[in-house]
Amino acid sequence: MWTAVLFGVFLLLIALTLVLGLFAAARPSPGLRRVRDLCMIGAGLALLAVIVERAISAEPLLWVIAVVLVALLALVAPRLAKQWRAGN
Amino acid sequence: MSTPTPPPSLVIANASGTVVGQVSVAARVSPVKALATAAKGNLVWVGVSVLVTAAIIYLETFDNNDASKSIKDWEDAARLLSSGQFGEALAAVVPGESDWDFDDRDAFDAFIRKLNMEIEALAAAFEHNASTLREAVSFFNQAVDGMVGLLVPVLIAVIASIALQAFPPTIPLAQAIGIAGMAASVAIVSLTYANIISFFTAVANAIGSNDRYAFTADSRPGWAAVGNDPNIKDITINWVLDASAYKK
Repeated sequence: MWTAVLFGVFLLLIALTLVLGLFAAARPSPGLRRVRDLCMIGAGLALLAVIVERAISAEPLLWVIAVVLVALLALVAPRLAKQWRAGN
Repeated sequence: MSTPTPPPSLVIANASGTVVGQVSVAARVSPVKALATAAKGNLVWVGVSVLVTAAIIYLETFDNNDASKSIKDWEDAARLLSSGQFGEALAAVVPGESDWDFDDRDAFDAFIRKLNMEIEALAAAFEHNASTLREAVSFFNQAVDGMVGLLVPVLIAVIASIALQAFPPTIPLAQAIGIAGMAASVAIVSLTYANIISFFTAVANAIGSNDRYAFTADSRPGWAAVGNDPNIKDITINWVLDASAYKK
């Protein structure tokens, strides 16, 4: 049942990312962007946990998606961190 | 001869070896570069697209095998209990009328009739559980199919909008399509998920916590009143009218 809750958290975070993204596009502010980026990374981690659980318990093919997610987070997170340090 | 374009560039010559034109490689690949820059500038949008796609794939990989196995188990239980197997064996056990015609024979026959009805009721209940699960699986598959049908055009528009980001005049349009498309995708995934979860909770309640549901609502034995729990555990064997006759 925790996977259902975690998937719900993922949906919430991704919706929050979109809303914050809209606000950040309308009124650029570094703080807002950081929260938006954190929401996106949090959503990615939540979905990763859910997918890894399903991959272990039932569907080994989902490991492919898990790897894609890890790659996405590994590529995106440092770049976002760089943008933060640059003050964007 | 015109000034050569900066390298890297390709020189086009005719058959006699005269240079008739030049093509700049940098100019040719500039849309691709612009696309890469657009992707870098919209890391969060790219991330959200990948996450939504992964979520769709996750919902698509519902474990049909496990559900099918569960359905088969319920069906097997129903088949083994019903007249085909257990019922037939029970009928073969009962002695013939001529072999046993004491006073207690009527009581024994009544007991066997009730037992048969209870077994049939159980088999019907198992069959009911199997069909509830079958409905759940087909509901889930329809929900996910509907979701994918709705999402494919939206996601195509979003992917197209990433290409539009590469050209300055279309950037605002691309951003509008991207944001609207992602919002629609998230809304569709969320609605489908809520739909599936509420339906599965109902099914789980029907089968799991309320284990009397199947017996009282759908498959009571013939002699039990409608809506009553037939209390299947309390089978009383009272056909031994003269208990002392069996004691030494």
